[in-house]
Amino acid sequence: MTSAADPRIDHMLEILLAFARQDFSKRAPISDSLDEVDALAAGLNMLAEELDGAVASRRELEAAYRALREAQAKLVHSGKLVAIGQLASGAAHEINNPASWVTLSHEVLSRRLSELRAVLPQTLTHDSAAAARRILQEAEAALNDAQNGMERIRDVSGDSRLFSRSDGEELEAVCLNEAVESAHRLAGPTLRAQARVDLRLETPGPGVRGNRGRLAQVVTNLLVNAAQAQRATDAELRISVSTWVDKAEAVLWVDDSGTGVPVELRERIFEPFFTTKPAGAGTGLGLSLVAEIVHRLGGTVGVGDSPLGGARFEVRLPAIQPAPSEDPARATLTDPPADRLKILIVDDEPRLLRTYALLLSEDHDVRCAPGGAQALDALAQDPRVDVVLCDLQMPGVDGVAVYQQAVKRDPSLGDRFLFSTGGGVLPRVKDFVATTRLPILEKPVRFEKLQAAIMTVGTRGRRPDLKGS
Amino acid sequence: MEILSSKSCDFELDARGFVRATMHQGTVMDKQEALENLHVTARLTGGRRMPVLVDSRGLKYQTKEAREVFVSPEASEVSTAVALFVGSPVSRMIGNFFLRQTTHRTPTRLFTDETAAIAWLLEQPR
Repeated sequence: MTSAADPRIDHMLEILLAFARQDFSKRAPISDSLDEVDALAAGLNMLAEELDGAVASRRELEAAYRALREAQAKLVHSGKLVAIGQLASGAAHEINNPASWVTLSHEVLSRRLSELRAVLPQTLTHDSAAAARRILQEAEAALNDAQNGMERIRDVSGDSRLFSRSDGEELEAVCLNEAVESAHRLAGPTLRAQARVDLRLETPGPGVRGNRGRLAQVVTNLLVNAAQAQRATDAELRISVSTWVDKAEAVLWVDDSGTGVPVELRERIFEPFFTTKPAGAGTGLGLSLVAEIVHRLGGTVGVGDSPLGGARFEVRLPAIQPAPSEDPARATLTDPPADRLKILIVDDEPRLLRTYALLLSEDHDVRCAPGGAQALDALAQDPRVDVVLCDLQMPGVDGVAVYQQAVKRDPSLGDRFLFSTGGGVLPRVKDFVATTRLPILEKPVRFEKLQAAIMTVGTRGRRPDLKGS
Repeated sequence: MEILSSKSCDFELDARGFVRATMHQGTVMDKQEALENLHVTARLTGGRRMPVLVDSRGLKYQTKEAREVFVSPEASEVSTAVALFVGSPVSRMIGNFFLRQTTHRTPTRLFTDETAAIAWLLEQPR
C-alpha cells in the first residue's frame, strides 16, 4: 500500500505536467521496492523515452523537409535563370549580327566622309565648299551619335549574355569593376526610377578568381536588395557601390540610405526564405544566393551600418592580379602588312558579309562564302589563304564543322582561323567556344579590333607558298 | 550444469532444451547490458538458436535502447522463442510495454506462472 503523500506520486505529477509542455526529458525515480507505484513510474519513463524519440525524429524530418524545400526553391530559381540566360543568349545572337554590320558600316561611312571632305575644296566654289563642310560636320556628328548608341547596344547585349554563362562553374580571372558595371547597366533602368546610384570603383579594378556571370549576379542581387530598402518617406534613396583592395582581399561595398538591417537580424538575413520585406517585395532567396556564390569563391559576406544611414553589405573575396579586360582576339598590330593578305570570309548574313568585304578589300584580297558548305568548296578550289574569318553559328555546316573538315584536309590551315560569334546558343558551338584556343571575336566587332585580329592571324608564320603569289 | 553470468543476469542450459536467464534483483538494463546478455547467451548455446526463458522478476528498469537490442536481427540469431516470466508490478509493466510497443521477430509472450511459460516454450518450433 502507498499513502497519498507518497513523494513518488508528486514526482510523477511533475513529469506529466512537463509532458503538457512537450518536455519529455524528465524521468521518475524507481525505488527498490518495485511496487505498483514503481511500476507506474517505469511505465511513465518508458512513455517519456518513446515520446522523446518521436519528437527527435519529427525534428529530423522537419529539418530534412526544410532542406528539401530550400533545395527545390533554389533549383526552380536557377532553372529560371538558365531559361532567362538561354533567352538572353538567343536574343543577343539576333541583335549582334545586325549590330555588327551597323558598326562596320559606320566605319565605311566615316571613311567615305573623310574622302569626301578631302576632295571638296577642289570640286566646289568657296561658298559651296563651306556649306558642304557644315553638312559634313553634322553628318559626322550624327554618325558619332549612332556609334555611341551602338556601343551601348553592344555593352547591354554582352552583359545579358553573362547570365547565360553563369550556370557554368568555370573560374577565371575577373575584374570586380566589370561585374559591377555590368550589373549596374542591367539593373540601371529599374534602379534609376527608385534610387540614385553612385559607383566609386578603384582603378585598376580589383581582380578576383570567379565566374563573371556569378559575380554580376551577386552585385545585381545586392543592388536590387538595396533598392527595396526604401524608407516610407519621399526622400530619394541613395545607393553607393565601391570596390577596393584591402591587403589580400578584393572588397565590394553596397551602401544604401534605406531602412537598414537590425542587429538581431544580421545573421539570419542570408538564410534562404528569410525576408524583412512585405509580401511580394522579395523572394527571400536573393541574399542567400549572394552568400552561396561568395562562399563558394572562398569569400565572406556581411551586413552592417552604412554612413548613408541604411545598410552596408560587404563582400570580401581573395584578390588576384586584375584581369585583362579584353578578349584573346585583342592584338596590338594595326598597321596593314606590306603584302596584301588573302582572306576568306564566311558568314551566313549577306549584309554583314558585304560590309566585311567592303572594308577589308581595301587592304587585302578577299573572297566571300555565304555559308559553311561554300567555304569548304572555296578552300578546296584554292586553299591558299592567310585568314579564314568564319562565323561560328550558321545553319547547315557551321563554323565548327568548317574548321574541322578544312583542317582534316589541310592541317596547315589549323592556325589560319579567326572566328566570330554573336553568342552561341547551340551546345556544340558553346562547347567549342569553351575549349578552343583559337581567337574568337564577339559581335558586334569594332573595325580596329577586327583589323588587329586579322593581322595577328594573317602574319603568324605566314605560309611560304603564299608569298608573292 | 554450467552457469554463465553477465553483470545483470545468470544463464544456464536447462536439460529440457532451453536457456534460463535470471535477472539479478534491481537490474537496470541499458543497451550495453542488453548486448552483453546476447553475447553470453550465444556463448552458452555455442551459437545455436534456442528457446529462452527470461525470469525478469528482479528487473527495475529497461531503457528504450535496450528494448531495441532485444528486437534486433542479432537477438533473433540467438533465440527461437522468448517467454518473459514476470512477478513484480514493475517487471509486469516493463514486460507489457515491451510486448505491445515493439514488433518482435521471434515469438515472445508474457507469463506470471513459470510452469506455463516452460510448457509454451517447449511447444514452439525450433
